[in-house]
Amino acid sequence: MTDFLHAVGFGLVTASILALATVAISLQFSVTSIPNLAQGEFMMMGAYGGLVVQSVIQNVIVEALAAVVVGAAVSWAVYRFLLQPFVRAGTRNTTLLVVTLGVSLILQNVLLAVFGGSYLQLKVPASAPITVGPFLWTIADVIIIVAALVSLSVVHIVLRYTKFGKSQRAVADNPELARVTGINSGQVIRLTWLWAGAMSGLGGFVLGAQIGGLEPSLGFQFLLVVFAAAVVGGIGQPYGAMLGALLIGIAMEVSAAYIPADYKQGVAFAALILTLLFRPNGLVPSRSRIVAEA
Amino acid sequence: MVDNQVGLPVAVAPHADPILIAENVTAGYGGPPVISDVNLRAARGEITAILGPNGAGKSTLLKVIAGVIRPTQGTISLRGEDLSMLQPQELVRTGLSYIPQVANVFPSLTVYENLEMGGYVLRTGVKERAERLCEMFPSLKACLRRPARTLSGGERRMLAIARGLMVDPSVLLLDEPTAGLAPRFVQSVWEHLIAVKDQGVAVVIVEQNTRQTLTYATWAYVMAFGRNHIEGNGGDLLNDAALVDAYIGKG
Repeated sequence: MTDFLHAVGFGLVTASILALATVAISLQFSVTSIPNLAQGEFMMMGAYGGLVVQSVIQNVIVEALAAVVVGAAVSWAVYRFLLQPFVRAGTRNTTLLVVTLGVSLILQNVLLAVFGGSYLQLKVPASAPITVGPFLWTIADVIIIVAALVSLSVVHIVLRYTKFGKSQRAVADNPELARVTGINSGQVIRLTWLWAGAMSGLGGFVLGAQIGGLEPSLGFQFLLVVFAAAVVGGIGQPYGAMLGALLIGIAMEVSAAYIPADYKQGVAFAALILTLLFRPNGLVPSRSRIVAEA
Repeated sequence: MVDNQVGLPVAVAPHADPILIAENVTAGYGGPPVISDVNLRAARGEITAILGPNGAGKSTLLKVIAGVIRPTQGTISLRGEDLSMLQPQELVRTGLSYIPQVANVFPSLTVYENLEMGGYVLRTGVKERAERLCEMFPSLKACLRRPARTLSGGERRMLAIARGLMVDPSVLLLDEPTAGLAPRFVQSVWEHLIAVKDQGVAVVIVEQNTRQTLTYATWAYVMAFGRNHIEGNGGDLLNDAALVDAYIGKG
């Protein structure tokens, strides 16, 4: 039982990392409908940004902040200078999927060229595991969970209570109607990419912090699990993404307590398939389905 | 009443001082033009109707005026100012409000949030304006916290109209606001539009329900095959039933 609870504790840490990336991609997808395969690289660009700062000043807050800024800048720039021209030219989203795959490979190779392919250590404040209720966490784990909780609370507050968040939901519902209502959809979409990039950068940094290091393909590998969590939650549903991340994160870590950890990713996808068997549209069904049924 | 096709003299529109003028508008969706050389004038305090059979280009004309589609030729002007270079979100600021036929509310937003988004371009007074509209549309007042997707068809239409009125527009463009509604809601929509018109708004409405529309319209344009066909004041057109029936069928 203790092992199980400890595994749940590790699951909550994985879920926190996953939630940052999953909520980011769901938020972006709900507002812009572009499936973004380069998001794992946005995470890694942020994480490597944090790593560079670490070589100058060892302060975990400053490092995380750098990851946020780099992630946001890369995400915004990729949308503004690459994807937006495609969108304006009326390119279909399936084509954009391939474009983002290209961006993913290019960014991975940029990281490879600059930092090399070997595993680089990302140092985090070390501590002996501490007992928090039934869970066994390091200080870094606690920081990761708190960072995720704060970020997700910000997402909730912005979406529910601010004019910008409401306009994001309006654009997600119907971009055309949003425009004739006076909402500057283009600006809302650009800011959404900026925001999703910031969360991705932070997610990449905490991912590296938990593993203890970085390599260029880490983000892409992690993205598979992010997609699983996003689909489990209901595609394009920021709140569903939180649930999906929780379910997948805990399933992965609890399984590792009983079967070899190598199967973690397989477990994530097994959880995905099981969820979809019973809830074909994910835990929180997407908006368009609801409209179609109405 | 005039049939431009055979070159009869053009009747003088009763609205000597139109706020909205569409002149020789040609537009489409990339292929051959859907509307060609269409003209329309609308004045404040009047209901201007655009009628005609399916595929006549009525909705297309409305979309051009709302800035959703750009005309390939012709001009749209509001208070004498050319609108053709403005984006839809900028047009709202000039006092033009457009309510599409379908998908005209934000389903996942609550009724109140829909009203807030309707007032997106307002700097102040959103709350006061929403309260006033709730008095105008009492059925909305009871469900302000509900997501719009849970509303009935009639309530949804009321919300769409209220959303369009949030900016206190001088021109309100509506695409078939009564289509598919139960008769009591149809009546209610008309009552609201008449009230809006009486407040000095230029109401421009695309409709299928011809007879009822002509009863309320100050001036009506009948379109066919993407062109202006007949125009006249509502009463005259209604009395010339044979002519109207020939183009739009029995309403």
